[in-house]
Order: sequence, then C-alpha cells, then structure tokens
Amino acid sequence: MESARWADILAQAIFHTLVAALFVEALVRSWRVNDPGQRIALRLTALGYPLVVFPALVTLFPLRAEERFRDGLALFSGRRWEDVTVLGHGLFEVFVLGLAGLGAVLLLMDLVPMAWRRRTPRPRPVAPDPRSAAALEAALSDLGARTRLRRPEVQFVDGETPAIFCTGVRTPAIVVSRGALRLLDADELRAALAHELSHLVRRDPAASWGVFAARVLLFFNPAFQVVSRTIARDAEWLADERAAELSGDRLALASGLLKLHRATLGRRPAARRTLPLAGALSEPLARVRSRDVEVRCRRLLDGPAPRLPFGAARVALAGIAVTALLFFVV
Amino acid sequence: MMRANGTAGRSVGLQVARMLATLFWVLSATAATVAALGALPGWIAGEGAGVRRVASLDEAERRLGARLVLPGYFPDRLAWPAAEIRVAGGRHGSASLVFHDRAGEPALQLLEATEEGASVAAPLLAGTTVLDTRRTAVETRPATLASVLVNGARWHQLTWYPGRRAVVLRGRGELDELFLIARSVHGRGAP
Repeated sequence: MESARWADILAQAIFHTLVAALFVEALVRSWRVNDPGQRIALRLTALGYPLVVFPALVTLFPLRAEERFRDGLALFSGRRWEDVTVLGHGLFEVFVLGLAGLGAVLLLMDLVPMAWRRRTPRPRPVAPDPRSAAALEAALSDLGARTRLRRPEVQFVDGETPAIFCTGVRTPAIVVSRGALRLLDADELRAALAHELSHLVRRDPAASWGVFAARVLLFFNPAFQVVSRTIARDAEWLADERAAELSGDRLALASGLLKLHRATLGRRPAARRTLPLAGALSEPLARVRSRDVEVRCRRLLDGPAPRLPFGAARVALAGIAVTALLFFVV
Repeated sequence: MMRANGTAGRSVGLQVARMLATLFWVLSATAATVAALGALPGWIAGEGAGVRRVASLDEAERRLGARLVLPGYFPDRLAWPAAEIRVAGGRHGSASLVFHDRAGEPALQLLEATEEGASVAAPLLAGTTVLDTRRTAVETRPATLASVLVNGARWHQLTWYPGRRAVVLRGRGELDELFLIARSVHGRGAP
C-alpha cells in the first residue's frame, strides 16, 4: 500500500508539472508574451509548481487521495489508466516508468557532457598582452559606468578558439580568449561583454546552479527538465536585450554572436564552462544551437519586444488558475 | 483631458478583458483536455459514467461499504473468481460480477444493490434489451424471469429481492441451473 501511495505521488508530480508547463506555454503564446523577462516569470510558475505547490497540495489536502474524491470530484485519476492494458501491463505503470525514464535521459543529456568536461583541467588565466588588455579596458570602462555591478574580474585565456562567457558564483568573472579578441571588432567585443555583464547583474551563474540542483532532485520529471532548458534559453534572450540596452548597439551584438557561433562550430570549447545550463544546453545538438543563434539574431534585429501590461497580475493569475485546476487532478 | 482619461480607461479595461478572456479559454481548453484524458479509460472499456472497474471482491466491498451476496452453488463449468467486477453509485451502490466459463466466454453475471430497497444502479444495466418477462419465484420470494439481449447475446435474467436487496442473476446455460444458483445466493457477515 505504501509503495502504491508513492507511485501515485510520483505520477501526480510528473503529470501536474506536464499540465502546468503546457498551460503556461499556451498562455505565453496566447497572450503573445515576447519580452524574455515576462516569459521567464511565467515559466517560473511551471517550474516552481512541483517544488512548492505540489508538495503543499499533497500535505495539506490528504482528502485528495481518498477514493471518494478520486471517483467523484477528480477531473483525472491516473489510477484509472491501470484498467487500460497493453501487452498485459496497465498503462499507468507504463506512463509513469516511461516518463520518469525520459526525465532521467533529459537530465543525463546535460549532466554527462558537463561531468566529462570537468575532467579536462581549465586553462590557467594568464596576463593579457598589452594590445589585448587595451581592447578589454576600452570595452569595459564604458560598460562599467552604466551598470551597478562592481567591475568583475576578467580572466584572459591564451587560446585561439574564440570564447567569451561568465563564470563564478562567489567571485563572478568573465572569461575571454585571445581568439575572441582577434575575431571581434571593438563594437562587437563591447556588445559581447555587455551580454556577459548582464548575466552577472542578474546573478545567472548562481541561479543556473540552483536550477540544475532542482533538476537533479526532480530527475524523474521530464516536464521540469524541459521547462528548465526553456528558461535557460529565455535567460540568454534577456541578457541579449539588456546587453543591447547597455551597449546601445543591437547590430554589433548580433554580428558578434554570429561570428562566435560560426567560429566555434564543431570545435572543442576553449575553456570548461561552469554555467551548467546554457553551456551544456545544446552542445550535443549543433543544429539546435544554430537555430537558437539564428532566432537570437533575428530578435536583436527586430528591436526590443514590448512588455505586456499587468505582468505581475498575469503571473499571479496563471499560478492561481493552474493550482485550482490541478487540485482536481490525482 | 477628461476625454483622454476616458479613452485611456477604456483601453485599460479592454486590455484587462482581453487578458482575462484569454486566460479563461486557455484554462477551459486545458481542463477539457485533462477531463477527456481522465474519462478515456472508461470509454475504452465501454463503461458509462460513474462505473468503475475494480480488481477484486475485497476492493468492491471496500468501495461499496457493504458485503456482497454470493452463490453457494457454483457449477464446475464456470471459472472462479469473477473475471470482471464493476461498481457504480459510490458508497452503498451496486456491483456487477461477470463469471466466465472454462472457454473464457461470459457465462454468468451477478448484479446486486447493496442498499436495502434500492434497485441495481442503472449504468450497470445499460445496454440491456428485455424481450419478454414472466413472474416466478425463488424459493418463496417473488421474482421476475426475463429473456434479455445484452450486447447482442441472449441471456436468461432472474430478478428478485433476497433479504430486501435487489439481485439480478443472468445466465446463458440451463434455466434449472440458474434457479439452483439463485436459491444458493446468500449474504455474508458484515465487513
């Protein structure tokens, strides 16, 4: 009986997140939410649901587990799918095991490459040559004055593969390779650094580790894995927007993005990235990465997406609505 | 100024209305999809609303909150336990037990209400066409014997009230055997 109860909770957690994710996705599209900040806020509703709301529902409303509720009030009862059998197995078990397996696979697709890369020692930062130092100083000095952020450490990597990324939780830093400085012109470098600074202003490295820890905790939940990846993509779009505001040059950012993408296609990364989400997001899938870069460039060239009014109210309404609906799903 | 405020107010109102209308239809569509997925197992199994298939006699009695009456006489040609058990009507509702013969074909069906004076729940009797009826008796209790069509197959159907609970017994074998089984139907102790 106890194992059956846990199986029910597991199945509910998976199905609830799936419904919440699809509901929020439908709202994002129906409301035409294009501002990445608002998209993140809405998708965090789906991400936060299995972590906060679902445990509260299970704990505070034990009546939902009673037969009377399942048979009478519930819109959906997962156990009913036990009655539908395929090759002698009830579909309830097939769904639960299949979806849990899918969740684990989605996590491993990001975890294994990240763990593999950690085997490679990171190249030691070196002092930049005078020319590189001057280029970095010229780009950063202007940007630093426009952000509230204390100027982060810049780690120069003496490698030909172009790389610019941010890293570090307690001591944020931006890693720049010699290859990147050679590839990008002054405006593109400034815009790319503005992008990384935007990540640091929002503390994205710390947030990404937090989300990844949640992904590991909910390894069995495929919808959680997918929504986490989607939020990572939105975080990149948001950093693009902030960088465009900071640098004032959307075209330079798009151009720099494209150059970096083309120069690194099919090559090993210059340095091991610690950002567990965005860095590992699509490296095994080169085509997905190319498509993502294309979409980002197009968004930059189209101009800033308008913010919808009543953003906070939309998030609150989405959360309340999905919670009310999923109360009746057991 | 007042006209500008009025226009702005109307615009805000329209935006709120559009936001809420969109939320409502997305929520409705999601709820309808979830409800359809919830009802799908019942549709696949050909069950009506409120009918639930259960795995065992114990589960049926637990759901109904009452013991079920069972036959004491059970022909060898029939397989025990019941191949299908369904309940309907919630607590103190009704149950349907279908017994197969050794070839795996439905051969005996026992339907009963668990509440005194109540009839067997209608969803369990759905799809039955009564061809003819006549009065009879099971021991001393008045009963009705009918020929019925269920899913295109012809059955004998005996309806009576042992201990004030409605029982319907259907069989596809000999009438004598059906009456023997009916006379042996008895209640069991309280759960």
